[in-house]
Amino acid sequence: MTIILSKIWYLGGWFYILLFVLVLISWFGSRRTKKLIGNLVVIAAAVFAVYFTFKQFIKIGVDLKAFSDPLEVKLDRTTYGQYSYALHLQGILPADESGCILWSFDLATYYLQKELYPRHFRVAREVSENCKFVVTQFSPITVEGLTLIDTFEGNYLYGAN
Amino acid sequence: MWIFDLVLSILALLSFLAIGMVVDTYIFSKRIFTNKLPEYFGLGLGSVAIFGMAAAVFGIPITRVVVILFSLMSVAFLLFQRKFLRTFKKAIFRRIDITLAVVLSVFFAEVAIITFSHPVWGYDALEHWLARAHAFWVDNGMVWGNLHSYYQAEDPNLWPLAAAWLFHFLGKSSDFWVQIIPFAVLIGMVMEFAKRVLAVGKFGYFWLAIMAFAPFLWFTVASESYSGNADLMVSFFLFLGFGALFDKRYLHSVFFLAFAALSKNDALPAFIGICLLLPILRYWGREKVSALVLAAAFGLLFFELFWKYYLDLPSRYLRGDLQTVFEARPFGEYIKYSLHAFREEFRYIGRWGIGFFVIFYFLAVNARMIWRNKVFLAVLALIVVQFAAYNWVYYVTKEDQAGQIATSIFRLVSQLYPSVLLFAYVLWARDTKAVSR
Repeated sequence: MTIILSKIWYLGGWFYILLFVLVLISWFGSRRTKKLIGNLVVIAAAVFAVYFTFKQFIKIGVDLKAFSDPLEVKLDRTTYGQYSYALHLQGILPADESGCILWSFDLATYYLQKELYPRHFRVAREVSENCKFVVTQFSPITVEGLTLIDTFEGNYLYGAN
Repeated sequence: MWIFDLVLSILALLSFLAIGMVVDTYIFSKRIFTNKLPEYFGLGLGSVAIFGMAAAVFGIPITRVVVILFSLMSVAFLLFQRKFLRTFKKAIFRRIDITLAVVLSVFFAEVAIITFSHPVWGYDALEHWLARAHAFWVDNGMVWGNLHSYYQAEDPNLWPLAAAWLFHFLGKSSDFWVQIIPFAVLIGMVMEFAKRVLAVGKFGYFWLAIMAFAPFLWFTVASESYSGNADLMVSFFLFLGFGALFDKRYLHSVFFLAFAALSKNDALPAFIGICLLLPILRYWGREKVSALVLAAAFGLLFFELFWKYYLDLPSRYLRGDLQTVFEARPFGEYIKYSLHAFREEFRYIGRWGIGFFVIFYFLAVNARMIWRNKVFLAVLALIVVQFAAYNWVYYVTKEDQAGQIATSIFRLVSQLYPSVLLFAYVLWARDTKAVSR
């Protein structure tokens, strides 16, 4: 019996058990009881919603400084400098170029790939012969057959020899 | 200059509104304009998507000039309607509850401060949604190359097309300003819900609070990880579609559910469901579902399927070997795991408050009312079909089930939350009216 009760509590918790109880009372109680319970449930839900939203706002914080920063600062802050690097590469690589971006971490890599379009830079885990240009973010590499062409704020562009 | 970009972004939003107004005024509502701005906005987003898809089939480039001309033509069409200007002024300048306006303004201002402190920075957005939007803007529309370049190529394109439309206004691709679209969608959903719930009187404020302050709903807009996803679009269109169903505006309902399916394949079950339910409502339920509605439903379904077939974009879930899946994965265990995951998600009060408590309560206590009402039964059927489809996808997915559930369940639940909350409200309102008589 204890095990069954434990399981019910584990699976249901106050949420589903209270729901079950209130539904039962509403089914078998008077219309007035049903209306009262319904209204109390709605009021409680509104209070919970406001409370948790308020709590979330406090947790996130109202960062007016971050909001009022110039757009370029916001973009570089979120993208770890890849916004400026993308602009830089767009300036030096023709629109029909292609190459590889070595995987750094998912968001930064896909962001740069997106920004370089229509240049077709595929994401690669290692350098291959098909990479006419190789972009590495945040750290340099040393690979035979590649020559460093350009650096920009800790990001590197290599060309195949 | 940011102010210039802000003005252009607002003009892009107004262009969606204008296009939606033209579509509604000339096609749906027989030239009667009423105050349903969120619906116009939704119709505008959907119309832009259908225009983009048709342009892809016929090879018509969507350039900045085309976008601006299209928008200006929409405004011109509206200004030719003398009735429009009169009713527009009346609808916009009607009495507003000042307290409510102040509270919601403060709330939306807070959400805006968080949202516009950063650009979009989320995996799905950068890997395909906004990657596609950027490509559609660069290439002046959808072409074979940019459709097939990305992972999950068969995903529909309403959201990337809407984003690309905004980029044409801006003259550049922007992961920052694109957030104005989901922000406007959130405001639209809250406005539409407010219009419905405040019709019953002051108690409607509590319902509005449940919806507007649902923690995960506004967080989907404010968070850099989720603001670039398409889930909020699905929420919006399912919400508008179900709302129109409750009003027995079947044509609107069909279009909104079609737009939901054009936002994400997740909503295809609801759209296919309405296509199958409408003939049943007409012939067995004796509801006033016109032949035009049926034609529109199946026409849109055919258009979407034909478009995918024409551009070779079949569903990855249909391409898999189901026999192997059935052999390798015990069906009962996998479905049980998914159901338990949803059970836990519904009671995650940090994300949903006790919104699902409200929903389940009113669904349960009004079961008899639902059973006796054909439209309510139809809506419940659509919800069940959607929910079943989510569980099915978690069963057949190639990814690890636990991993996929952990990263996506809250987003799937957010797709249905506003619609089922609206359903709960409609049941409460109907029951309250019955008790008062």
